[in-house]
Amino acid sequence: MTEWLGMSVPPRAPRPEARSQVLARAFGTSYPWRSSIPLAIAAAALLVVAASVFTVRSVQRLRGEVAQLRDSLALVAFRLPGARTVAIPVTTSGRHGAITVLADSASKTWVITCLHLTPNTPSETYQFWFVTDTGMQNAALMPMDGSEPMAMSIAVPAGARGLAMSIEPRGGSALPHGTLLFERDL
Amino acid sequence: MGMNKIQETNSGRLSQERQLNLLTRLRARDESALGELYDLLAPWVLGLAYRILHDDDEAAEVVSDVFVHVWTRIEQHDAQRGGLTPWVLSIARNRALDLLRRRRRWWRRTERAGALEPAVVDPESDVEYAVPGWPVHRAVHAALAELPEEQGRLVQLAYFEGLSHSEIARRTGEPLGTIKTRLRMAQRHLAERLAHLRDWIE
Repeated sequence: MTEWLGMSVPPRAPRPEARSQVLARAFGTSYPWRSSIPLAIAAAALLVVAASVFTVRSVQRLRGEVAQLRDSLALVAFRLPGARTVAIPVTTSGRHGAITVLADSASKTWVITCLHLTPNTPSETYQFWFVTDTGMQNAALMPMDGSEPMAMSIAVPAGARGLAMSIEPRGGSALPHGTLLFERDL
Repeated sequence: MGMNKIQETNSGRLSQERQLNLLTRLRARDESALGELYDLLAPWVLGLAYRILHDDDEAAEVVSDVFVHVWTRIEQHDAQRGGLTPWVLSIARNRALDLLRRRRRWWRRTERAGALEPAVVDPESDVEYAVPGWPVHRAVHAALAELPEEQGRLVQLAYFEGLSHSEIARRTGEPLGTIKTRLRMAQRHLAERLAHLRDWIE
């Protein structure tokens, strides 16, 4: 029963202000983050505002850069001797997209851009073909797993006079077997 | 103001039911429960801490530490080992003794304060003592007072000064075996006299 011995001592009245101080310390110890809640809210709000401003400005800047690059590309294409741009509408699974080819006869290079094409299934890929007088020759595989625009540059072999595109098995085919999306002389 | 009147005007009663209620609410993180517990026990905790430390500021520091401990560690209270009040008192005693040992000023203060505290304080003498728990105080004090002087002295040294058996033997100059025997007898006496506190309801 020694645990009761403490009550053999007469009680003493604590200072009146001690009660609130003790309780505040207890609750402050229990929830040390409590006192910093307003500060945290203010910091979070400031962060959100700063992030929003930064995002808006970044988007505006990037849009400006894209527009500039687009203009530059158009000027380059326009000024290249023997270069021309061909836009080919392509419909994939009911979705209307486009293949843009910048054909530069001087460097014998085709720069191909794909926009708004339906993403391939995991077992399929888009495949480009050179159109020659003797038939189709493999040009490049362009598997698309998302909807993002894609671009590629391919060297044009002798005898190639046009471009075709089909959907083939993921590893590609030696000859087009799948749906032929377009065939176009360039 | 008479004793009965003091108790009647008290809004808080240190009953076992009240302690169980407070314990449940403290475990449920009810902040008002800590305030009520403070109102009930702070005077006793302060009295005990002062008895050990003989220093107002240090005793007040102990009170603060005790209620912070109760609030943050209430899950450590084991109801099987005793009620809320003995648990709070044991925390207070341990804190006070820690301070006593750490600051190493206790020799000077105990000498200044004298060997033993005065007898039980008359609750009618001062309205400041209008706190719950007087029946327990009287019972415990009476049980202590019934001890033979040599046993009472040893209990005081062990409980309020936190001395080990060996330290008490060195302090009193008596054989260690004698110290142990007397303390065992004192403990048996107190256990018999205070057994009713186990199921005590004011």
